[in-house]
Amino acid sequence: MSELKMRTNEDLILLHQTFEDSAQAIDALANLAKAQGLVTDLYIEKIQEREKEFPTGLEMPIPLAIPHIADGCNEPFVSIATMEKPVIFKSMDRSGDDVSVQIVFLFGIIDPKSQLAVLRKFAAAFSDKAAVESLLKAESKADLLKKLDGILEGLLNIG
Amino acid sequence: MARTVTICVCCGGGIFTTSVVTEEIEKLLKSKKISYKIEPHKITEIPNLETDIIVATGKTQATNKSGAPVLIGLPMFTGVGKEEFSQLLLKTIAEVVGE
Repeated sequence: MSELKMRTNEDLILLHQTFEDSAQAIDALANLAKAQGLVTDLYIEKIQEREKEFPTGLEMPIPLAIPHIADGCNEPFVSIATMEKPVIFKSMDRSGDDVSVQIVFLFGIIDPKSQLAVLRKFAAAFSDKAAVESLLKAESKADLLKKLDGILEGLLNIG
Repeated sequence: MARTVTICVCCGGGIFTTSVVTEEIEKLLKSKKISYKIEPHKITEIPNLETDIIVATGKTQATNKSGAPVLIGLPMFTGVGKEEFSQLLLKTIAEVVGE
């Protein structure tokens, strides 16, 4: 099976954001994807439902969140927001704990089997403090993408 | 030779976390030469699954009607507590299928 590359670009990146809550952060990123035709309104609606029922905050060395669904997704992508001020997500372990998230990775995933390599790379990167920190410290969207491309070892489709 | 163990990996949507956790479990079981079948499912399916062991990515109040143990497999995704989870999974498999 051919490996589907995951799309991202500068218009899917938000730097130094401040959000009221997780729903606002997800909405901002999901609408960037919609503006590029990567997702439909179904995605915008379902991704919020999903976060309420199955939250995606992860208490990693640098706390982060990974909202992701397949519904309404036209093409695999990742959209990223770094925070000026942490935004609260509920923990994915469903303990009910709050996670003070510093960076959000919003994914659209179609056919996970064909994207295992990139998903595995992301999972490994999430626990790598230096890698996530380098993204947080990115000075520009281009800089963040360059660093991310290095971390993901060429598995992104940037453009 | 112990029989094949069946494992269901369950997360909220059955995509990202499940895919990575499944792959990590497969690596572990292959290295231990354990015969297995592994399938992705959703957390909402837990009560009715017909399987030996269930690995959920997060805490759940759900129990399995056939009595399959439910383990929390998030460590296989985050890497935090991975060794402890691996030991627990291997111990559970030994209990379920016998040595």
